[in-house]
Amino acid sequence: MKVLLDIAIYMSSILLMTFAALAVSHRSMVYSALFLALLGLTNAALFFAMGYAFVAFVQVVVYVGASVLFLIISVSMLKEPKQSGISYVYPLTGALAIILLGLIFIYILGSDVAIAPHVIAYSLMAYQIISKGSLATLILFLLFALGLIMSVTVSTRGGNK
Amino acid sequence: MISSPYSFVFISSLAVAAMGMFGLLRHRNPIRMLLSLEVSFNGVLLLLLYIGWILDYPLEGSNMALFAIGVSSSELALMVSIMMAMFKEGYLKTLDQEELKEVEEQ
Repeated sequence: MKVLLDIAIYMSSILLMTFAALAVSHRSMVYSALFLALLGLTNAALFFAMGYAFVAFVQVVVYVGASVLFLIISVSMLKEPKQSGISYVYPLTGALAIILLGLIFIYILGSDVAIAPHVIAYSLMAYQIISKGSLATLILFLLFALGLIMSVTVSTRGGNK
Repeated sequence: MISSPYSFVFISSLAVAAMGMFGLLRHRNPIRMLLSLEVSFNGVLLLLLYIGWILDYPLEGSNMALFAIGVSSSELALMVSIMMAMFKEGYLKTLDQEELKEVEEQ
């Protein structure tokens, strides 16, 4: 099982680089955003393998779930030139996503074999945030609130020139 | 150094950050530049967690990563909103930076 997990980590790293290259180099912005989402998922799988299960969860929910979906929806509103030729995107993305799912499955199966050298307790994390980073948390919360208000205001500002 | 699979994670995180920076320098479209910046951010986040793990500070590393994810997602939402609103209202005829410069010069 340990060898299988090592191979899975190597494959995840290679997959991460592949998604990064595709996100940067693809012509269509929508597909680039899609590859960015897959890059975030692969990153979360690696976090899980390193023992950062909670960070992986936040990465999937907040980053991939909210931000990248927002980016995909926004960017898909833009008009893009039609692509000619045979599209390789669907089979490639499907194959890579299936490989990623397989890797995540291996990580979950092997989580009992102690792949992660550190297991971080959430209570300790919360305690450290409250005791050492209370001011930073407050400032971050205010920034989030301000960002949310600004995003909604700017997005709903209607009227075409 | 590459004997351990986790060392390969370190190298791949550096490579992803470098690819993002390359995309940032290469593209002229602001949304594409933002996208490349996000690719770079993913690489740097992995690097941050890896360093926290190697130096035996996993708790501090994970807390910093949580803060970084929150700031990055709100920044992404704000930037895309501003960009789309400017495009929708007609302040931006194009999203290409070189063409924008030409329009400003005229």
